[in-house]
Amino acid sequence: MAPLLEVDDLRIHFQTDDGIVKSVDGISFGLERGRTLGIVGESGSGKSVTSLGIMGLHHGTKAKITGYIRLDGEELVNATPGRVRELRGSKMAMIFQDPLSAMHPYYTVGDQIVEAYRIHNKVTKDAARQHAIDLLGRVGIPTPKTRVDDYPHQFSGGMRQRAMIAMALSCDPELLIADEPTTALDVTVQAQILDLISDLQSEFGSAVIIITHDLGVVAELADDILVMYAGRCVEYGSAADIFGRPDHPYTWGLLSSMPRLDREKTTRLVPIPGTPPSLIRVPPGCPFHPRCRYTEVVGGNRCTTEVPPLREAVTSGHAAACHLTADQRTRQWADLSAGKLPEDVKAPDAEEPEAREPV
Amino acid sequence: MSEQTETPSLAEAGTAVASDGDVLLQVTDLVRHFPVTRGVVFRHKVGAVRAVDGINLSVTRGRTLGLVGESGCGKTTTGRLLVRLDEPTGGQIVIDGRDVTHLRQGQMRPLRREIQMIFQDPYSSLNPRHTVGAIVGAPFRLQKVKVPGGVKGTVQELLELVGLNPEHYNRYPYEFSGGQRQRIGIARTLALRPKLIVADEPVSALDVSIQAQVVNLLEDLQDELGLTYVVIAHDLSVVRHISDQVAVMYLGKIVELADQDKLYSKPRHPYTVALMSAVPVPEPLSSPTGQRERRKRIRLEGDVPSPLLPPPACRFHTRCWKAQEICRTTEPPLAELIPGHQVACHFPENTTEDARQPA
Repeated sequence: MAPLLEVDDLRIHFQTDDGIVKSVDGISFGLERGRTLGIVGESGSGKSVTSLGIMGLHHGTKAKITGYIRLDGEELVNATPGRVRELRGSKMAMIFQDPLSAMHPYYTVGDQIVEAYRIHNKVTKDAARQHAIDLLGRVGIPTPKTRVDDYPHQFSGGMRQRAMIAMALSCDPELLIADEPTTALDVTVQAQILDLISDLQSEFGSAVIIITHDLGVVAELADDILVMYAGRCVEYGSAADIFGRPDHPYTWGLLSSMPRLDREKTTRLVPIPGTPPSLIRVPPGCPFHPRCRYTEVVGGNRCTTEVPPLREAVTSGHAAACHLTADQRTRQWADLSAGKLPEDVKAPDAEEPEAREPV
Repeated sequence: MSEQTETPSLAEAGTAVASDGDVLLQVTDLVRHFPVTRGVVFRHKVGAVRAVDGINLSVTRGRTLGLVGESGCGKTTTGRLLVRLDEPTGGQIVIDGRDVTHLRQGQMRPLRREIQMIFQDPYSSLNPRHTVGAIVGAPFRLQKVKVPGGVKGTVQELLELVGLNPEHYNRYPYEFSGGQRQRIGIARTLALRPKLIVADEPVSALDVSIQAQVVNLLEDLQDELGLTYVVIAHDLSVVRHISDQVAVMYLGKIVELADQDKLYSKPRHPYTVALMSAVPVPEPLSSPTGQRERRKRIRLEGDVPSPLLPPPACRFHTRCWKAQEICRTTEPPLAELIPGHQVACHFPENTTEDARQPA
């Protein structure tokens, strides 16, 4: 069976006075029902632009979209805005980062849920209102019967996000995109919302795309993970692969630059040097090469001239866009896990470091 | 950096208070209530937001105190009180043996050389119409400090110290990325060689890879210049990494205060325990069958109560799973459970081993 969502060589470019901003530059992935895909990347890596592209929300902007997006077999890039509008809300829905700005301050929470529901379903106002109350109860809002008539500002941050989720789920969508759903929330509330999303997913069986910069959040929710850098996918694989044996130096950088609570305290963090590139002038060759510690290991000038293709190295379904060979990746990741950087390890090819199970 | 010429009023600012020479910052029973008023013509006070409600702290020279808590717990207000951007309602702040609690702005000015603040948002904390040189040089101008060799040379040294190119002296903030802007802010903070730096969420606006760079920079500067930090953050893992001592705040009170290693290895207060277990761990859990498993954690229900009407006695009892009658009637004092570990709880966690050890 074909996956629910297929994205094939999606490119979203914006024409600006300074040049073409290649926000998304050739992304492909598939997502089946009941699965969760995590898209991770820094700000400006194109993760939100991708999600807005899938939702068809670039219509009317200067965006130039090429490639294919198929939802349940239906092509969306060239579909009419009217058709995308019909699908949006009913078949695919989105949860935004900041629920306060995503909700209309003049309408009650209930009205906003009812509106979305009645656009796609022929029901009476009373039935829709009852549906809204049910949904608010489902997402864990206490006394939904009275809260349905509250305005967004009367809700706390966590409750607003719950209401947003209720709104997104009102038409039982098959695809749910959550764009940084918990970034604006405190940790204890974040834990509640993450639980809620995964509970609802198992209940509704929808496919979920979760977009975040927080590796902890994706580890919590995602089955598969796509790591984006400068508008491209640099690594794709199952959550176990990405966290267990990551293959791309950028993923290594992300993992080693964050302080962690579940490990012994490290004396020093290993940041990724430099800053993310401009999407107008993406570096030639591998877009990550100016910040990569491993260009010397690859040798020659392949990193600066040749764009590494996204290919599977060891395990199937786990692909990385890097010139390092499978052996080199295994060795470098083992070294890094042991706290050694390539510049510390003299002559990396000379001696075989003791094989160590990557953590 | 160059010697600064001593201006007269410095020694007179604040009343000298006898204190331990090693303690740079001593806070006793600090209170800040924001009055809530009604009426336009006949304004009358109807209540108070108890943002900070009696906290005690001390920070040793050259060490770092981390202040964690969820939004609305009063950590930022505490930070603003410490640098006296706001005046406490009650209590006492002693910095370097001088009581600064109720100093007027003019009296405070000479002290600002010794107490500085790093702000959260590197976009709004830098004046967009000033060059980097003007921003970093402003403290010298405002404090009328004459530096031998000129301000420009000193500013360039500062830029180099924080890892920026000194030739960028004449650039404007918009030409820099978020991480670089935060470095500019840090350079400005360091200009007058302060003793105490209060950093309010110094890295939370930055991307993960850049966060690590700034955290490392803060640590290097502390080693190099012997700085004392109070770091306010909501991210428990960042606080753990950077702090020697950690204070956990909940609704305007400190609920737990201990050395970093003690607090993180054996949290005692139920709130701390819940907070830590809520942090998503970047390591997917899967059972032997390959099925995703949910991490066992303590879920706090609901939201933080309003600081306008905090719950009586123990403020955490409304969300605490261990709460009993005494928690609703008697407020637990912040007591030293074992040496160097203070907890305000009637039924602390992780205490089984203590019974055998003499406290």
